[in-house]
Order: sequence, then structure tokens, then C-alpha cells
Amino acid sequence: MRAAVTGMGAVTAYGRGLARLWDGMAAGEQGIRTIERFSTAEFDVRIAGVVPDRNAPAWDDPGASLCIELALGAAREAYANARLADLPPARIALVVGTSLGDYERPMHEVTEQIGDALGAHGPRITVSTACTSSTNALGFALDLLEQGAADAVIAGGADVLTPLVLAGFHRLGVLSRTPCAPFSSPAGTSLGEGAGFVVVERRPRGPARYAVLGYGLSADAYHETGPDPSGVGVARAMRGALAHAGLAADAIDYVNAHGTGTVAGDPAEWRALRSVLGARADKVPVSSSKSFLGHAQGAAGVLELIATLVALDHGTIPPTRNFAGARPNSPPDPVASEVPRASTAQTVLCNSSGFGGANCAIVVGGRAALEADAPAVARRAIYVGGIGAVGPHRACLALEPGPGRAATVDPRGLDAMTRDLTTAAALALDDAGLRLRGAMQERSGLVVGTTRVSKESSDLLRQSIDERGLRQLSAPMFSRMVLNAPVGACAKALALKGPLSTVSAGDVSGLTAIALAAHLLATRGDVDRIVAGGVEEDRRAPDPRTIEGAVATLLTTEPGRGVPGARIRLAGVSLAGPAELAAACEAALASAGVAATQLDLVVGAPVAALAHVTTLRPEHRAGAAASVLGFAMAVGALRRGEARCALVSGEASASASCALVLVIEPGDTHE
Amino acid sequence: MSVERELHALRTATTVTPGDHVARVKLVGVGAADLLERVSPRALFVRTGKMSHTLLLDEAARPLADVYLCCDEDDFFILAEGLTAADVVAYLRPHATDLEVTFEDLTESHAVLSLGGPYAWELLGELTTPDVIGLPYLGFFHAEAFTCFRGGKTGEYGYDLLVERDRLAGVRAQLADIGTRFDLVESTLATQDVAQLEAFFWNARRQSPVGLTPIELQLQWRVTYGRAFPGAAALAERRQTAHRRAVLLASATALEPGAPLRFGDRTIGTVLDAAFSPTRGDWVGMGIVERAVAHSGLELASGAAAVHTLSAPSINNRSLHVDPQRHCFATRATDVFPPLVRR
Amino acid sequence: MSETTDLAEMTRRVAQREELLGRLRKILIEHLQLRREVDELDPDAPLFGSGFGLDSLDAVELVVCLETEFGLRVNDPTVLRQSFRSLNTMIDLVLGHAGPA
Repeated sequence: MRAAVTGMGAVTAYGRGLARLWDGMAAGEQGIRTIERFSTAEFDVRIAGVVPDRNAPAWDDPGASLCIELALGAAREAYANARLADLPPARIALVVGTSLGDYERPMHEVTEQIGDALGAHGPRITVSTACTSSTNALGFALDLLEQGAADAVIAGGADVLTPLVLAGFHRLGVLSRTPCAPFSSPAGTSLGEGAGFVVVERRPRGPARYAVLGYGLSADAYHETGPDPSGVGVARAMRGALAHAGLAADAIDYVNAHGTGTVAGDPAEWRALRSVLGARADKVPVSSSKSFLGHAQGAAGVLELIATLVALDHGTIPPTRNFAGARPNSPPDPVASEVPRASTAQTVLCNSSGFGGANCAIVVGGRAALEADAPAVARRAIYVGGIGAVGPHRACLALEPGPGRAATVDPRGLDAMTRDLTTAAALALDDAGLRLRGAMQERSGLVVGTTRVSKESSDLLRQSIDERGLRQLSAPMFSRMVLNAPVGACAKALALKGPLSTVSAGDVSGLTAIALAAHLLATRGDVDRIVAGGVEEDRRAPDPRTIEGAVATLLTTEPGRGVPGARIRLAGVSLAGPAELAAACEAALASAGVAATQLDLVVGAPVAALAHVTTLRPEHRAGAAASVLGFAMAVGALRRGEARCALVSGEASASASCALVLVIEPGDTHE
Repeated sequence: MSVERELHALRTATTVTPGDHVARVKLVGVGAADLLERVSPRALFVRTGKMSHTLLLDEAARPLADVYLCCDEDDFFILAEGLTAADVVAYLRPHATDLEVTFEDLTESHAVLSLGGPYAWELLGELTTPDVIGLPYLGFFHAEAFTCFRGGKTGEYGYDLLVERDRLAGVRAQLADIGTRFDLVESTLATQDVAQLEAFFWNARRQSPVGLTPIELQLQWRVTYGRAFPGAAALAERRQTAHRRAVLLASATALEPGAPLRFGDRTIGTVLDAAFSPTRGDWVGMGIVERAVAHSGLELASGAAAVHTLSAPSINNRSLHVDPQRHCFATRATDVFPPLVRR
Repeated sequence: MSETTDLAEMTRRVAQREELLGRLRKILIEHLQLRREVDELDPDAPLFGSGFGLDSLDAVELVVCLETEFGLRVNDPTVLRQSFRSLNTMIDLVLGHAGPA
């Protein structure tokens, strides 16, 4: 078992709490109802799975408090169920998946506020990968536990239905006028909102009934909003989840599908299930909870997982409602019913896909799984293959000019953030002397830290609304209002089809992305290299120390370029709570097997215990890319022989602390 | 009548056409991309598995060939019409003297088979894997028995299969077997030419007389101005002086290539290419006319024939409306599609 | 065509199409960020896929532009697919002809 589920909480279209969720499902209530919170007069679609009894301000002041209120409602229920009050707050991590958060605020501030209110003072990480956000958040929670960064992780997500979101999906023409009918007719989805959190622990201190066994991430690298119709990207995420769980496809006895109900999405997902489950796909029940909860955006994945576990608690599986005959390319058993169906299912696959081509699948098991050991993990060594940077600070890295691979991408319509990230990532690949050939692409990932969407694109969106009204907003710009839009576009441009994620942790966002990428690489058999980095287009409260631009590094399990006869190993990684920089440094050194006396360079915030070591504090240290610049400077110093063992650290006042240890290792360079 | 039957299959079902007229060349070596950057009128922007659709121009900016440049790691496949493989190599070689690239003429070693039609994707899916529906337009992949390029010049789903000669019989046999379920019809180049004209898709083998450049031929989308390439100077100059443009013609009576076109009593251009369209039941053609009247919806004359100009294409391709996520060949009779020709 | 009145009608149509062509080209450049000059946008060139490289999101934006610029509300996806093939087919749509005549 990787992690036990020791607590859950949910706020859904049925109302507050797990009990209400079950009562609603069991009674066959339809959570998708007429929207009353704001005027829908200008839209043709006026229904959604909205949390009842809440009134929120209109779009100009878009429900900032509501998102946090919903999140806290769910997280507090989960916290209480898991009896976390016994644990030291610094050992409780928080991972929040949200697609739009509070919209106007930097993404990580939402998470910080939730963490403060809950008393979770371990690392606080925001995952924003559109509709896979909360599923991905739960996946990273497993990794934090495995890294020892926390004893318990509260993970899940929250998103609010705002007029902007309704307008955007309305404009895209993917909404159904009646509650959505996944795999059936009419095609089209129904939006929703809500929050769901679970508490996961490695060594449960209380009763647990379910275990999270594994998760998988992938990129379609296909389109900004539409899925790859072949479903091969979705299938990669599903296979990754099964492999992580150490299970064969035959073990799955129920699938809770993403099942949005759209013409493009459902058949692609079914093709993926067919390819992963083989003949078993025709026998396994596959249902979509969106048919009664609506599509709760970034919170959808975890809410559907919770709905599944609540149903399993009662010996049932959730139905697909509104089913009136199958569309082509649909599962034979969609659990077509208005109420849950009796089932003895134990092992469940939940899948999510989102804008930007992100896919995330997760596998959960029952009692038998709780008692089983986690599959053995062979940790692989990780090396720094290359670095790349774009922006005014590029000079301080003294990088050689690359051959400009980014020229393989037509820049039409890409915003500055996407251009910078793509160029930095391409330069990092060039620096490593890598060209991603054929199957290599599927084993190459991208994990990026950032805190805000592109200002250029959000200004254009705002302009389209000002000029033409909300109903007529610009669809291309709307599609870029998810934080992972530039990351998905970069993955598409460079054909990075492996694990894809976008995270936010304030000024330490970029370094956090590197730490999470390093863990994926070290522990997974289906990825060999990940481009990790940070990108920042604009900070609305300008800090003169902010970096605009992007910095990226290529991490690889294959030794890459270093100083002649040597290579640079990322030997130690640690994430800790926001006030725990010293502890993070200590843990990183311990995981690297390096004594503080062996260090000859520290880049980042000064640490008292390391005062004897030469410390380089970059002048530019604000913004999501800044901490990666520090990382790149350390790599440069190691390459030039100025140091042999370096520690890179970073902290964000309310999000997290992060430390990484780099060492020169003797050995052949293969390049 | 065979053209009629073949066209009907292309417009409603599936066809296979031998691609002997498609020149196939492979550029091998790290200099391939640099070479194409020098000669391609269009900025490459291609990555592995992607194709760029452009032209090869002579120094007078006249298009010699209609080419797909297909990036395969360091190497490139070139599929060209209008020049032979040997001519393509002869065109490229002078630009490659300082580059690490070799030329492989695939004429003898490989054959090309073109699949077309609104259900060609489904036929191809059976021939390879259902994943092909994820293959974007201007993408290609290596299947077991061939390399499959998605392009198409008739307005329908179109795939060019590059098959090694010794596997051709096997692929043919498989196609014959699977094809019976998709009413697959063997089609000829003559039929393709008519279909291409119906689609108003430039035909390098029939429509490149001296004096016309991508500007007259409405092919500027295949050009990126501001780049250096053969013909760039002539093209830039022509951009200032061009006064003619291609238009799509239709007429109930026969159109003769070379015949003058009149607007009122004024001669404003000539018919460049024409063919009878069985799909429409009238003649379609390409005219080159003065820009001032190079618009659709006009009544012209050629000899005694009344000619009108259309917005391209001249037919409403079913492939536009067939969605692999919703439709399949088996349900074609009950699926509702708009008529192929709107009157 | 022989009557001079017809010729006048034709001339009027040309002017009408020229004017619409100009407005639509401007929309492509300003609203869809096409990095092209006006004269490069040939009226029969494909808008999607290869051609000008527009995609499904751009199509949604084009629908809005038709509404805001021309007061034209088109929801039928069949009509849109036919009409979004080229600038010429868009002009036809605006002029009230939804496909090849």
C-alpha cells in the first residue's frame, strides 16, 4: 500500500458533507439544476452542478472567498475524520488542485490561506492542470509521503463556477442544455463546482478503509482544449497509474471515467480504456459521476473519487444518469441508472483529462490493498543534463547560444509566457545535446512552476469582454486562463508526452517543480527525462527583484554532459513547510548522503548551519522562475569546476521551502 | 463512365490510387533541415512526424513542384508533384554543397498508394491501428508495412502510403480484403485530376505555365515573405506588380484551356485548366483573370459559353462533415449529410 | 452576359466582395493574430489546417467576429464548416449564400 485514506470531505452540488453526498446519490437526486447565483440571461445554457445555498458576488469580484470557503468546508471535514490534530502541524502537508482558484490572485495564495486556516504547516503546493488538478494533487501527495516531506497530506481541490467559466465553455459550444448524458445523447457537458479533500497517510493512526495505490500523468501534446481522439495520451496515464500501483489491468473492477459527455472527449477516453484494459473493458462497469454532480473543473477528479469511495462504503458504485442509449465508441456497461448499483468492486481506476492536454489517472483499492505492501521501488540516480533560460537574466548564466530549436514552432498567437517557456525548454534540451526521437517523446515529461496566467492573454480576454460582452468573449484567450496553458503548449511544441504538470508555490514554484520532477524520475519506470523549470510573465505588484522569463533544466536518468570526465548528479531533494528552510537543507543533505562540511557552494537564502560555506544569493529572487535561476547558476559553477558539491535552496514565505543537493560525480560523459 | 464511378467513390466512400506520379526522395543527414531552410519558400516550423506543405520555385518564382517536406528526426521525406525524383535532387543538390546530407531517390525502392474519401480514415484504421484517427492533417507515422502521410488534395481525407516495393503486393492484398467493407474503388490519376480541380487545389502537373507565381495562383499561404529562397527576389517584385489572380470557373458547356474569358465585352483573362465534373454535372475550371474581377459570384463568358465564378471548392466535401468520433462507413446510409453540390 | 445593366450589377458585386474581403482580412490579422500582410491573404486559400493554420478555437472566435462585425448569428455547425473554408466562403456566408452556388 502506498497510502491509506484516513479522512475525506466534500462540498458538492448536493450540499455540504459526505453524508449529504451519499444521500443525494442514493436518492437519485439531480445535482445539476438551474443556476441561481448569478444571471444566466445571456446564455443558452442555464444549468450546472452548483453548490446550493450560496450567493456570491458577480464576475468582477469573482467569488474569491467562495473558493476558499468551499475548500475549507471539505478540508475541515477530511481533517476532522483523520484526527490530524494529534500531528505536529509542520508534518501536515497540503496539496490543492484548482483550475482557476480565485482567478485574480496568484494561485499559491489560495493554498496558503487554506493552509493557515487549517493549521497545515508542511509544504503547501498548488497544482493547476485544469480539469486534472485535484487528481494530480492527490498523486503528488503520494510522492510527498514517499519523500518523507510529511506524515499526512491533505490533498484535493476546489473550483467555483463563475460567470466567466460558464461564458467560456458556452462560447466553446460544449455545454448541454439538459443535464449532461455521458456516453449518451445529447452530447455536451454540464459544468459544476465544489471542493473535495482526502487525507492520506503512510502509517495510518486511525481506521482506514481505502488505499491510494498509484497514479499516472501524461501529456496529449495535441491541442489546447481538445483531446487526442485516439486516446493514446489518456492510455499512457492509465498505464502509468497501474504500473505505479503494481497492478495488472485485470485487477480493475470499476472505472470512474472523466466522461464529460462531449463529442470529442468520451470516445477518446473509451479508446484509451479499450487499449489499456483490453477485452476486460467490455465487462468492467464504467460510469461518469458528472451526470449528477456536473463537471466541477479542477475539483472534479477528487470529487468523483470521493463519490466512488462513498458509494463503495455502501456496497455500490456510482451510476451514469440521464443515459438514453449509447453513442458510438462508448462503454458497453455505463451503469445506466438514476441510483447507485450494488457492487462488490474493490479496485477502482479514476481518470481525468483537461485543457492543455493533461491526463491523470489514479488507482484506489479496498481492504485487501490496505494490507498489501507497496511495490518495491528501485530508486534511480538523476543527473542534470542541461539548462536553458530566456529573459534579461540569461546573461548571468553565460550560456552558449543554442541552435534555436524553438524555431520549429510557429509562434503565431503564442503569448510571451508560452514563447519564453518553450524556448527555455528547447534550449535545455539543446544544452543536453538531446533530440527527442520517436518513443523517447513518450518517456519525456514536463513539470513547470508558475504563479499566474499570462498577462498578455488575460488582458486580451478582458478586452474582448469589454468590447463584446461576456457572452462573446475570446475563446482562444479563455483557453489560456488555466495556469497550465503555456505548459501544455510547450509540451505540444516540443513533443514532451510523458508526465505533465504545473505547480505553484510562490517564489519557490520553480524549485518545487524540479523537486517533484526529480521524484517522478527517481521512482518511475516509464519516464527517462523531465524538463523542469519556472516561468513568469508578469507580477502585478512589481517586485524589482522579480525575474520575468523562463529558466528550465533537463533532468535525466542518463548521465549527461558535465565537466570532462564527470557528471552532475542531483543527489538530494527535500521539500518542507514554509518556515522550515533549515530542516529542508538538512533533509536534502541527508538524502544525498552528503555532510555539510563537503559543501563548497550554497545558492539561495543563507542558512545559519551552513554559514561556513560560500553563499551566493542571486539578486533576482522573486517570481516563479527565480529559484530555477539559482539552480542553473549552481550547475554553471559545478561545470566550470568552481565547486564540487552545491546546495540550492529556496523558500516562499507561506508556501514551502525546498533544497536540492548537486554533486560532481566521476564517470564518463556519454555525449 | 469509370471516372464517374471513381469520383463517386472518392466523394462518398473510399478510393485507392497508385501514386507513380508522386516523386519520393529522402534527405538523410544532419544537414537536411538546413538545406530545406534554404530552399523552402515557407518557414519550416516542422518537427518529427509533421509535414510542411510548400513549393519549389525557380528563380522567376514560378512553382516547379508541389511538395510536402516531412521531418523524420534528422532526415526528411519529400513527396513532390510536378518534378521527378531525379529533378528534385538536381534542384536541391547545388544548395547542399557545404552540408552533411545525402539524397535517396526512392522511386525504385518504394511505391506510393494514395487512399482517399470520407471514410479513408476508417479504412486506414483497419489496415493499421484505430489510433490513426489521432493523426492530424499534415502528420505522418511509420506503420509496420509502410509510412503513412496525411495530406490530400481533393478535399477528402487523404493518406499517401509510402510502401517498400517488396511489401506492395502484401499491402495490396490486405487493401483488397478490407476494402470490400468500404466499397473501395481503384482510381486513376485522371480521376484525381478532376477531383483536384473540383476542389480548386493547385495541380503542379497541369497548372504551371510560365509567368504565373504563387501570387497569381493564390498560393501565398505556402510562402513566408522575408525569407531567402530561390525565386524570393522575383516573388517580392511580383508582389508589387501582380494584376491577375486564379478563379474557380463553372459552366454548363465545355470549357477549353487557353480560351479567353470575357467580362462584358472586355477580355479579362484565360481558362488555364478545365474538366467535366460528374459530381456537379457541369464543367469546372481554373481561370487566370484580372484582379479587379477576380471574385466569385460573377458572370463571365468564354466564346459562346456562359461561365460563372465560384468560391472554392466547387463541391461540399463529405469529409468535412464526417467525424470519426460520430460516424462510420457502416452507418453512412442513416447519417445525415448535406448534399455534395448546393444549387 | 450582354446587357449593360448586368455589367453594372456585376461591378456592384465586385465592389461588395472587395469591401467584405478587406474587412474579413482585417479580422484575421487583428483578432486571430495572423502574422501576415493583408495582400497575402488570398481569398480562396484554406483558413484551417495548412493554409492560414487556424484551428478549432479560432473557429469559435470567428463565429463571434461574424456576430459582432456583421450581426450574423450562425449556430449550425454544418453551415459553419462549409463557410469557414476560405475568405471567399465567408464572404458568401455574409452575403447570404451558405455554400457553392
